[in-house]
Amino acid sequence: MTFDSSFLLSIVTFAYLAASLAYICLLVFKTKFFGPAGTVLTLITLAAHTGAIIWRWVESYQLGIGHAPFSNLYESLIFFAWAITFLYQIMERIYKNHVIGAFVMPLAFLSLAYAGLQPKEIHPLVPALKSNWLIAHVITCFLAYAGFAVSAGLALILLLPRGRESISNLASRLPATGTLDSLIYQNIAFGFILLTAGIITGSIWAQQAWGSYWSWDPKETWSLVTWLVYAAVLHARMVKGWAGKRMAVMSLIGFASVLFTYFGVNLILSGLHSYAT
Amino acid sequence: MGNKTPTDQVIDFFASVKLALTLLIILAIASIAGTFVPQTLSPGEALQRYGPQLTSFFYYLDLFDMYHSWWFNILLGFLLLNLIVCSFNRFPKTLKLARTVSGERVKPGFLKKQPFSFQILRPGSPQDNLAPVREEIKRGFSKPREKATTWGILLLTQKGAFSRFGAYVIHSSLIFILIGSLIGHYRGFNAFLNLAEGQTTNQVILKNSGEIALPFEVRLDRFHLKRYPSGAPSEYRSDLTIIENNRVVRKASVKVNHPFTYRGVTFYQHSYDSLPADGWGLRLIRKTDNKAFDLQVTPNRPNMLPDRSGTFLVLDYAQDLGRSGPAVRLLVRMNKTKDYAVWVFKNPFQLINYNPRYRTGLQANKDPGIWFIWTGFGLMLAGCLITFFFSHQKLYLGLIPEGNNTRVIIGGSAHRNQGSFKIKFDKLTEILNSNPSESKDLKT
Ligand code: HEM
Repeated sequence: MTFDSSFLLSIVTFAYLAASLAYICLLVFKTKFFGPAGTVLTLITLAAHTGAIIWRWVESYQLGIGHAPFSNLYESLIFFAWAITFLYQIMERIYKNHVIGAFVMPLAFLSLAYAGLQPKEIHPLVPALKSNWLIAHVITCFLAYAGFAVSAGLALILLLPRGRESISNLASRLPATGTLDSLIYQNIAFGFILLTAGIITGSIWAQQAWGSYWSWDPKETWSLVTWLVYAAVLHARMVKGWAGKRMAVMSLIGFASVLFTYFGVNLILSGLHSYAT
Repeated sequence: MGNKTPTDQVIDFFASVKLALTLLIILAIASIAGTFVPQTLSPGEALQRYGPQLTSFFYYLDLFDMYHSWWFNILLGFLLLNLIVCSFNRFPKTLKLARTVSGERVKPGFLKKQPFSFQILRPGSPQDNLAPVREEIKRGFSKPREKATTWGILLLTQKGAFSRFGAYVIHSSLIFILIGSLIGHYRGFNAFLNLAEGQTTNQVILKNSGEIALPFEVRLDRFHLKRYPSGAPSEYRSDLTIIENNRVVRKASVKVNHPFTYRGVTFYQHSYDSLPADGWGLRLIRKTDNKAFDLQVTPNRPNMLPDRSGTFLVLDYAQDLGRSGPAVRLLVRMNKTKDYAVWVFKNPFQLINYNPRYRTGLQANKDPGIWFIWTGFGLMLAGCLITFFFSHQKLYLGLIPEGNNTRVIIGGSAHRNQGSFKIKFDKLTEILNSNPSESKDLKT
């Protein structure tokens, strides 16, 4: 086994698992120590993760086919995990609550674990993928997906039954419903802006590459569905005052649509975005 | 509701956000359906897949071209109508909200009822008490307006009122995008053309059906195919010349992701293939005496072997067979043995020259609506930024003389991002709370 960026990423995967466990321990046992431990572990791992992405970029240049590491399912999953961790860390800095990590960091771990199952070779880019709009498209879309992922994690916390005996002990450590509600909304708003930017950059790229900014390809259509769902969520909140549990449920529905856009379309439907083949 | 006229009821219906939510969800569900029903099925395939009854039902609903169907367009039309009516309906209210409230209504009670509010009794005159917080207010808000009222001095100020109009910007962007797509649909075209090297044409084939003539001619000078070391294609490039009235007016290269536009028609590199060249040079070596014969081969016709022991025909040609370079496949017909087919490679040196003529596949599109689309995209992003990253914050400051002291009341509100407003507000209250030297000689 050579020590390359993929190897470093498999270490990063296990480090995220450890960080997730630390956050979960904080939730289950009251020991304060686990909070900062999870944070420190996550931050170190995030640095290594960033390094590994840059390393993979360099490796592609060493192969003489240099391109940004955002070109296949493996690379997109790595960036997805990076974006989730990055967003979560920002949130943790602002809200100083470590417990949320127990619900968010496992998502980063799962994304990397799934990446571990994908082919890892660096392939030269087909001509259609050689575009700076592609880089903008992938970065915006996956930051959006990360925002929606974090909001779904928060939604799960909000939906935990708080009244019960077994949970009430946990509940004392969970953020207040009001805080969760506003965090869910902020992450959805963040995701909505970036998804808008992602669809727009994707359209511009499609117009340049294929001469058509919109062609109702299944992946495009599903991203529009996701966008419509979150637009509905924003209106329901802004104008109808939806909040709390309703927002949480809508956030989970929206995230289900994200997951289908990301994975389901590749597995079940076919189209231009044949990441996973 | 009872005494509303029918017109009002219709307007209310089209202005309602409930309708918007319903339409957004129906559109989402319909879009999903279209990803599961294949959109490019031929009638025969459809019959096989769904049977006659379901097929005719699907055709009735245009399900095989759903996104262009009458009912999908009606849904989009409703959404737009909803948007426009709702925007006009709400605009006066938004305008009103975008201003600070002033006049008789603003009394100490009004200030206390604001979402954020604070009061304190401080020594000194109203003007003295304004001094400490003045800088802080200046930093965070626009210059306050000062008003003398029956109960004291009122200062009102605000920030970020434009943020209330973000949603209007987003909504109008959708109208731009719709107009752009309509213009593209009615005034534009999608066509393609295949050009062999050296060939000139002004005819393009429309995607839907038929041909049209461009007002100028296009010539393919050369087609280049670049490869990675692995053999996978890295770049397709067509070198084009535009000819107008028999004069060369432009030369341009079209690559994937690098289209070229001339007089509103944009050319995109789409595909390529290669035509049999005029001939291949082939060196044949006779096994019995190693004698070499060089000959020129004509495609599509049997060629005589040099010693007349048989004939051969070029069956096929490949630019890169099994990553071993160009090759031609020959069907050899000897006088004595059975026919056999064989691939002959350029390496090792039997095929002397191989220069196929490339043919490029270009897309030629015209979309006069594209600038509406780009404008719509720009407005949508700008609208999102205005809506989500700014908030309309209002601050009222009341200074009420009470003997030698002044009661300072502040009230404020933010229409979103209350968190960041709270930080500002707390700063103000902190300043008003501190100043221990002055609080000491407070006479109550
Ligand atoms: C695809 C279609 C639409 C999109 C993408 C969209 C987008 C948005 C966004 C992003 C906001 C800001 C939400 C927030 O502040 O959290 C908003 C606000 C709003 N939208 Fe839409 N919208 C759409 C259609 C509609 C329709 C059809 C209506 C018609 C009733 C509507 C009515 C409103 C209203 C009333 C607001 C609140 C405005 C305010 O007072 O700030 N929207 N819209």
